[in-house]
Amino acid sequence: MRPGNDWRGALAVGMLSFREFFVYPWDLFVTFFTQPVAFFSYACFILAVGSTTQWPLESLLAYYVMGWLLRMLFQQGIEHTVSARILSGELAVDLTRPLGIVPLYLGMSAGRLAARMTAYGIPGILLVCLAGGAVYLKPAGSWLPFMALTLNALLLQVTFALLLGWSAFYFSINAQLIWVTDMLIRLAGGLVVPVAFFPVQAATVLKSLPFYYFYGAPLAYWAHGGTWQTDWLAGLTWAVLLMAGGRILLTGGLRRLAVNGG
Amino acid sequence: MRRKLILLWLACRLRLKAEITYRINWLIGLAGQVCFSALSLIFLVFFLPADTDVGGWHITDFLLMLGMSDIAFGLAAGLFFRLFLVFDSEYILYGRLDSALTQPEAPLVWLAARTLNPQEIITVVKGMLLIGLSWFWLGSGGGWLTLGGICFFAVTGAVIYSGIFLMLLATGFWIQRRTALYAPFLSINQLGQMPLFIYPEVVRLLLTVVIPIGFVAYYPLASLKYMISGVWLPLTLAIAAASFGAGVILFARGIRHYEGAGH
Repeated sequence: MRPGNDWRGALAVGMLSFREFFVYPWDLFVTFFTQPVAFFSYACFILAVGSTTQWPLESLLAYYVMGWLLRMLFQQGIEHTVSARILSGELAVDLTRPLGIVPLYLGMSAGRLAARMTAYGIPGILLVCLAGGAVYLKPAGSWLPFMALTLNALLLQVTFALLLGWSAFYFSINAQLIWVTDMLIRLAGGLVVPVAFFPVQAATVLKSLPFYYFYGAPLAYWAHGGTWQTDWLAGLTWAVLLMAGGRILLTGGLRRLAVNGG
Repeated sequence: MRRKLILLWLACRLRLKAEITYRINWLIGLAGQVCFSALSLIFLVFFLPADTDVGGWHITDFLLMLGMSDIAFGLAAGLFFRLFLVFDSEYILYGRLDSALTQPEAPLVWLAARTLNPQEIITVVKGMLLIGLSWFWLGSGGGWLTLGGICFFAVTGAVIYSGIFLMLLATGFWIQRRTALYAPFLSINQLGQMPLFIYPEVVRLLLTVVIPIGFVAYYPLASLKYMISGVWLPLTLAIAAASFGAGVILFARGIRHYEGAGH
């Protein structure tokens, strides 16, 4: 298998995933307008309580609005796809394709990301700018560190999604594992309450876990500023570690995979 | 009625046995429920210190409301949520509804027995714990009658949820890919876990008139705690009856509209 095949194959898979995403426009419409509703209840609650926390209200709103946008982009469901293919035995078909399975799923992820950016990200950003304007927009200097932290977060998300998917090699069902991990990411990643609001010891523990870098690090920078280099480096280190973990799971999983010839 | 209850009990035991076959998956699911509760609790605790209130609502009232919502959702979801998820794909498109129509039991009871999810009982227990935490430990205040009312209206909330599930799943007789509605429904459901007065007027109207989730916990609790008029209590009962009745009628109409696939 040549690396050139992997790239070309991943591009083709990505384009297909992109097109697949738009097959059911009704689903996109419904998701775009209703997913923010969950965040809306948090926002209304914060507005009702007023700013009793250490951050001003504008920073909190910016945090939750950007949190919603990132969530819309990151929730690609690659872990469900990979698990379903392993558990149903369709992985056997993937193993016979002219590209590796990692590039195959990475291509799928890239296609879905591009589609989500087109369907949710860009309209979301436009909507937020129209609705909130200056509250959510930051000076141009803030964008570069934020983008660096966000790209790190994306790398972590995709790596972790694949790692969760590979866990299907070892479990008869891993649906609950995926669900619990999602909860953990929302909780420890600061999507529900910014990690900075936790007691110091708890915040230190949360920051030492990879989940903080999935959402917490970019969102905290976006809302509150401050130094970002340490967070960026820590996130990158976690991404490398998770990649290594994923590699081990995949190698071990492929070794124990029994294809039934179907 | 007795036969229907026995059928549901037997189906519940059978399903529980099947789920416990995958023990680790089941235990991880339990952990997930704990995490899910922790999300709501942590959010409340961090933004609403014990000595402050929002529109006269203290953290104890928020916990009572969360508990009521959990009991109501757990009971209804245990019976109908899985059916709501798979109804149009498995029963209408694949035609498995044909076999339900030939059973000696009413199709809806048979379908509920086939798809019920006993794991949701954890959500109910979680709701009870939240109410207990608020009432006994944090001292929510109020008499035993109020506590009894809270438990009663939590069950009424389950009837409202069941009606909504039935209406949504019955639309599968006419609309394709109705499953796309489940995520929005869960998002809207989250709105119902907070007191409605924190929302803009249009959202309050939506949750009162269009999707009556406000009657699951907010209106009965506020009424029982004398924050709003007592008229809302009989109104809650009426809404529960209307919601469940509308769900059953819509489902029955759907059955008449359904054309068997010959399975």
